[in-house]
Amino acid sequence: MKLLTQLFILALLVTTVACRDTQKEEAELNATIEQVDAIDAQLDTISSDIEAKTEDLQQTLEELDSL
Amino acid sequence: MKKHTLTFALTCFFALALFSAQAQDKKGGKLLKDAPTSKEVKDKANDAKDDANTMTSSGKVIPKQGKPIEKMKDQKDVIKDQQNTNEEMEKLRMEYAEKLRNTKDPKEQAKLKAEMEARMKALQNSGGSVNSDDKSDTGPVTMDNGNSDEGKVDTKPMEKPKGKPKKENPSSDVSLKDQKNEKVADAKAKLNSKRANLDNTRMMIEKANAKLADAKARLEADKAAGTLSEEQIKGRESKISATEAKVKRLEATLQNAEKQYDEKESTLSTFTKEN
Repeated sequence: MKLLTQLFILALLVTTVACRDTQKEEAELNATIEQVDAIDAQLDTISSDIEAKTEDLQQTLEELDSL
Repeated sequence: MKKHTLTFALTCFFALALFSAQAQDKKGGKLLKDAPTSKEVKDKANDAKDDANTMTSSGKVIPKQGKPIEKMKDQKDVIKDQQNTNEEMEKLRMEYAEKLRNTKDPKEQAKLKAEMEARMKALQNSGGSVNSDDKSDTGPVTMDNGNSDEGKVDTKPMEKPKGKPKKENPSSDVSLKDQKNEKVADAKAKLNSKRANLDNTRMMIEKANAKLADAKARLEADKAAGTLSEEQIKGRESKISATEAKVKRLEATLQNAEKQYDEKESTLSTFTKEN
């Protein structure tokens, strides 16, 4: 009976550790996905900034040509 | 003796559990490699939607050609249900026909008819309505329930296909990893395209510099010729300086963007290495 209890506790421990590992891994994956999404958004911001400045410059250059 | 047997049995049980856990891990790894991309998953979802759309609001199923066997099975189930409903309705009709023949009282007959109609309606609601198209699908059903739904808009909610919804991946962890990998790949592709766009911007800056030099040369020539007033000269100079400032700003933005792109690329590559 003692042995059975010990084994049961051992199994419980193993299960708990395994579950915690899975949760941790899932949380890490979610964090990574969020980071990648953030990078994606930043890329868009950078490129839109460059595009806006390029368009502005193009307009100025056209005005300069017309002089 | 008993204790030893128990110990042996428990050891065997744990060994088996460990073995199966290891096997599952390996399977998970394999699944990760073979896991469908989110595009494939989306396509599958769209297919499922299309299948749902084949069921009209009246619960009628239009079988599609070249569909997977499981989908066809679902459709067969629905058709079987309809057949059962039709059979039950036929029985009901026969039963009430006999009763009507036996009764001579018109009031009683009207009552029976109303009862029959009510039961038929209840049957239709539980097993899906039957229309002429279904009759042709399900065999020779010659029943006329006196409840034609043609031309009416059926507001009943669509009948859901039977059976449990299929899971795309057995492990959510695998699907998450797959999602992560795909997002990283997408971000890398985006980064590369943005870098290519930077080259175009660089070319544009070079052209702008050439145009600026040209404008400056023209201004100097006009100044030498004396064809411009002071106001005109000031206006041109201010425009040239404004353009120069814009070019410089764009160059700075470009350099900053390059730096940031490098940083993002290294971050993305660390995400890839983590696998």
